[in-house]
Amino acid sequence: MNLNPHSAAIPSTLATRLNSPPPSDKAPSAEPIIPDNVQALFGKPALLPGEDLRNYEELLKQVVLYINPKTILEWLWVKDIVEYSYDILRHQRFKTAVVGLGRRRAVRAVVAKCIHEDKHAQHLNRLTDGFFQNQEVRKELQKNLSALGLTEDCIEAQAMVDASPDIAKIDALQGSATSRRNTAVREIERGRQQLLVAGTDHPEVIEVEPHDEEKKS
Amino acid sequence: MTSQRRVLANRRNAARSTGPRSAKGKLSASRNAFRHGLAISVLEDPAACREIKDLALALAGDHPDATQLALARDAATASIELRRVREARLTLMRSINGQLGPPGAPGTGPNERSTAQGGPDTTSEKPVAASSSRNLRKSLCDLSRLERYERRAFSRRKAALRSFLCAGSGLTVRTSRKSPTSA
Repeated sequence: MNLNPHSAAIPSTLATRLNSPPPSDKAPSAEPIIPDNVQALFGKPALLPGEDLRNYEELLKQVVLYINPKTILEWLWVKDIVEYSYDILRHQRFKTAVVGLGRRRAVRAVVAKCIHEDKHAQHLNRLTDGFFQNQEVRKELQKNLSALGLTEDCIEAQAMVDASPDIAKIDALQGSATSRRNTAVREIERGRQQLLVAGTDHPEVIEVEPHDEEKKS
Repeated sequence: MTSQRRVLANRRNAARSTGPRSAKGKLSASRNAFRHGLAISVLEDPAACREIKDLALALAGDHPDATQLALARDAATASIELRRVREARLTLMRSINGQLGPPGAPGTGPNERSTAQGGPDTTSEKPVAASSSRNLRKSLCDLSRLERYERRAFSRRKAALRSFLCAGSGLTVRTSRKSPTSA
């Protein structure tokens, strides 16, 4: 494994494995991915309800195969890589869902603009619900939107505007998770280089010019 | 290397801005530890102390000397502290996840949620109450507040693991300038 410890980015091959959710149709492997002594320290994986343990184990397996951790220290960093990779994917999902939540508010705002009579809250709510659940109401509202020179894209745009403060927060959290995952990768490589240097007979090498050697002799 | 003048200026500035000043602010801050428990040291939890001991022994390996054991203990303490922050963060993420609806595999959006049979959910979207949006905003704010604790815990653990590694490999720990790429 050749990683540049000073690089901010992780290698593209590892990035590809980390950024793509692993296929869920793979049968679980019979071989333990984590040695027993390490598993005792790790405990159970931290998953959210609805997340598949097989996906987590597959991602862990991919990272372990790539990194090939040798020490407990490296296993700790490997766990970080997997957990922060999961966080990055979760944050992405949250962003999408937050925009989806904003869609109802956006539909209500657009409906309020479209109808001219009876802007009573109950009527607006009924029309908004109808937009999501009733095709005829949806078509009627689309006609009203067209009459005003608007399209359903306006609803998406309004939803994005409403959700932008939340998306900004999630983006910041996602950025932190990415940074920490990259740090974990760099620390493994840094540790290996340190051990490599320490394993030589003369870890500190002093470069001496030829004329300096003559003077010393 | 930071100059002495800069160090003194930093100390003056820190003394000016540290902590709440009003009675209300002080009362609110005094309850911080009860809100999520992260302001309390992990060493005050007996269960955590046992885990720290186990992890320190696993890190130190067979026949460590006193220095290695002490550094392993520091690294283990930092690791358990980080794990505690992550657990608090995961609790909040569970709350957010519950408000957003059950997910499919990570990386899928709300339109790809799985049904009980495991297939994608193709029913029309259900309208969401306004109170859900408020709760979601609050949860996201709380998650952002935890970021400070996690940043600090991660940084401490990185430093502790580096010190332990250097002690084991016989190299000297050098404090380097903070790089823009470090977490």
